Amino acid sequence: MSTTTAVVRKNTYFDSVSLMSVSTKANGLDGVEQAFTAMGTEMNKGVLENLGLLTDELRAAESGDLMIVVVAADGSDTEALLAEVEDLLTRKAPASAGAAEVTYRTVASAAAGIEGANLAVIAVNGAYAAREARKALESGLHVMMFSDNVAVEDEIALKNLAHDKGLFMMGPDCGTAIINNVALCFGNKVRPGSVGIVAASGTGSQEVSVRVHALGGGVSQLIGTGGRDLSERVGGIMMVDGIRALAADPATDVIVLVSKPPAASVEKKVLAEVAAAGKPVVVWFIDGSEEAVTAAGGHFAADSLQAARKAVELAGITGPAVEEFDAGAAAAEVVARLAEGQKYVRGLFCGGTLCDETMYAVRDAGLDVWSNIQKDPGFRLPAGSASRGHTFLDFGDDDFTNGRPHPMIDPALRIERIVEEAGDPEVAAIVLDFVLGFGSHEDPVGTTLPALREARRIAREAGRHLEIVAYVLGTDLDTPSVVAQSDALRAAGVTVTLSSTETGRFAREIAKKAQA
Amino acid sequence: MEDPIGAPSIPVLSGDGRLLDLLSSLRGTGSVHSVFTRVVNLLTPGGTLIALAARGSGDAPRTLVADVAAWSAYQLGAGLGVTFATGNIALDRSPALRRPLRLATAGARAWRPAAPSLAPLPPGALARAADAVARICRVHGPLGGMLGARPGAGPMEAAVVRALHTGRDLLLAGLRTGEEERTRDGVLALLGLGPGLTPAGDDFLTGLVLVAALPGSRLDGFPPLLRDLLAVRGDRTTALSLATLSEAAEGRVRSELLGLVALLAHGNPTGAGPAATGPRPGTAPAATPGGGPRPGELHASVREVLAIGHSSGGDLLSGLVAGLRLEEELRGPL
Repeated sequence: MSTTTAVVRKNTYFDSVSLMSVSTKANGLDGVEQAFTAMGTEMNKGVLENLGLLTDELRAAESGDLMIVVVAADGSDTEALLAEVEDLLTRKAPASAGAAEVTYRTVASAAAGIEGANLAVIAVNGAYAAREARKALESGLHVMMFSDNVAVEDEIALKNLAHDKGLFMMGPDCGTAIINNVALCFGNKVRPGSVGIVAASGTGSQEVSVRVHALGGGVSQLIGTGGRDLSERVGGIMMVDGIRALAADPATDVIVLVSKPPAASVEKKVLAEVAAAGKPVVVWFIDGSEEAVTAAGGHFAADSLQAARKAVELAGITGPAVEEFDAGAAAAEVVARLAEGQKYVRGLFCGGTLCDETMYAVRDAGLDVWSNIQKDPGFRLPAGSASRGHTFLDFGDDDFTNGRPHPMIDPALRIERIVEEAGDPEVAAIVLDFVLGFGSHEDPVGTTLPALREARRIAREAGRHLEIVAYVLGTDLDTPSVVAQSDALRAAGVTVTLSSTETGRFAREIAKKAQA
Repeated sequence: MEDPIGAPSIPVLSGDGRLLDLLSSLRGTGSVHSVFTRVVNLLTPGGTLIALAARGSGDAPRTLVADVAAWSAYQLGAGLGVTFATGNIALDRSPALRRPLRLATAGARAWRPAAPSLAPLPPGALARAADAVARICRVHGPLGGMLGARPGAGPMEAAVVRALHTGRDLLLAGLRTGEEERTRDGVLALLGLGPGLTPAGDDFLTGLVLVAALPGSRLDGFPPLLRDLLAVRGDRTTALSLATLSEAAEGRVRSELLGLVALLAHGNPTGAGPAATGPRPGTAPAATPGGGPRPGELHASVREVLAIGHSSGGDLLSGLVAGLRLEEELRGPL
């Protein structure tokens, strides 16, 4: 028999988005039959009373108090469950004086207090990030700056300062790095190895690192630069320093560069470093051209999978044989099941580069694609708009994250959109990514599965087959592992692709054939 | 401890004109009520709840929009003191920080919303507007409140949604027949119902009472009834919701919602900021015969309201749609 337990937090206020997020996560905990968080108003207490769940403690709650009710399954440890729910609330708790324990209040005191510390991660509001980063650099610390909204002038000054001091200035807006086998911010647990990565793209570098791992290779260092590093103004200061560092690193045999195409003058500068590196350098400039890379003696990669394969091959590693995915044949099977009028692919992504790679694969087949991150303003879709034709949305873009957590942490917005897209009779396939690893949601697939089931139900009741395609970016060493998350998707009838590149190819073939 | 704040004071960019008027002569000590990433709520010396919103937020009743990206960096906390003086508000922070955070209200743009009238619209226009808004809500509206339970929702959420629908039906029946007792029961069945800080039932009431508070409404008996009820039964909901409802009963709501009503009234948004989202790319919106809102504009305006909170936008619009339909019904065919 299930048991009900509850706590009341006096005068505690959460915004509705946080409350809903906590409630969703709490309902996903093992042993929880149902969990409910609400303010202690008379009407909410009335609902609980009707359900037979109103305890004396809840009865005493007032309108300004937060009620947390947990109905635990038979045999569950109710106290432990309640502690987990309270923990969720604590992690969501807004800043309040004296509530949070801060061990070190300044970068300088942290550096002084931790023997051997040589790197600071700056994740404060963008308005103060530059000042904190400058202090860290002046204290002799490398910097990884997760903060965004930092002025480009500050970025240039900080990178020049770091360069002069022989330090790294990774960022601003740098979300991924693996330094000495420690993943920082959003990163995956990959095997240590001989492939060094310098990247101006967060999920792009995550993808290359997990593919290298899957192919039997390992990562020596993954150095993030921040998305603006290869712009004309910043001039690739960090990427050049990163290449030089890896060229001098005895543990690195092969270097991989990941970025959107750089400004022409910066590309020239970067390729000069490629030529001088003295080691093989694989260059994946997303949507970039081969000619200049080859002329500089670099190894051009057209996609993320090719970048990883070339890197592993150049490192002399023979990994497990990988069966080539016949995207054309698989797409033909899907399209044969579609109803009249189902012709479009809708991509709903957490990772910007993963979105880019699939979107460009479809666009390169000569099809029109709409997106919130489209370079062509004629095909740009603002975040609040309904989908149109083949649509690819990056939910991690600023448009969607303004005032909300990144979808890799809180997938609620994307979950709503999945159900919405399923109701569109023109939709043939929904394509998704799930990003695992440090910093990400603890069970992104599990929290999305109810919406996937609902999407399929909506299509089925309308007499349509809805193809759901998903790629899980992660490794067997991540928690949860890529294997467990992929199995859960397959069990729900989702087609699971094995790389970002494969996802793009499959989406392209479905789009081509469905629209033919 | 080191102070993370560089600037001596933060300018308030815009604010509710009525609130700015009040602040110009307000002296004394209040307190911080609650702190969120983008909003900090304060209690004035008289106990009135007011909001400090971050840059980019829409104007709203009892709200000041300050030139900050977010409040998280400022180490503010519930219960800390707030000093109100001429031209500025000083917020105490963590005891380790000596300097308070000062907000300068001088120079803030005063937002003085004017509630438009829907009375001049021709017969059928209100019902058509309600249908158009409801259609967009059905496709884009978040579930979890008046629009229905989310897929896979547990018994508690399902029970809340059932109670919301029961309360809504009771209230609308009361308003339709003019029975005050039934109307009161309907309000009390919704007040404070739902999980959020502004419960879904209150959001519905806000949308509905806004229609009733517009000039020329046939539901003009509802705002005073609601105000009376709030005066004696305000403890049935949260302080924030009580403040929002009290203002809505005077036709004063957030700029996004008021912008939508203005769009329905005039075919163009007035008294509201520019819409955050435009029409779909490549589709030039066609003017609607008869001067109603253009489809692209309406879509963008509704989506702006839907973006409020988690399910608040959908619940506000459910109330608005119910109010528009009731207004049309009470007007009759002529």
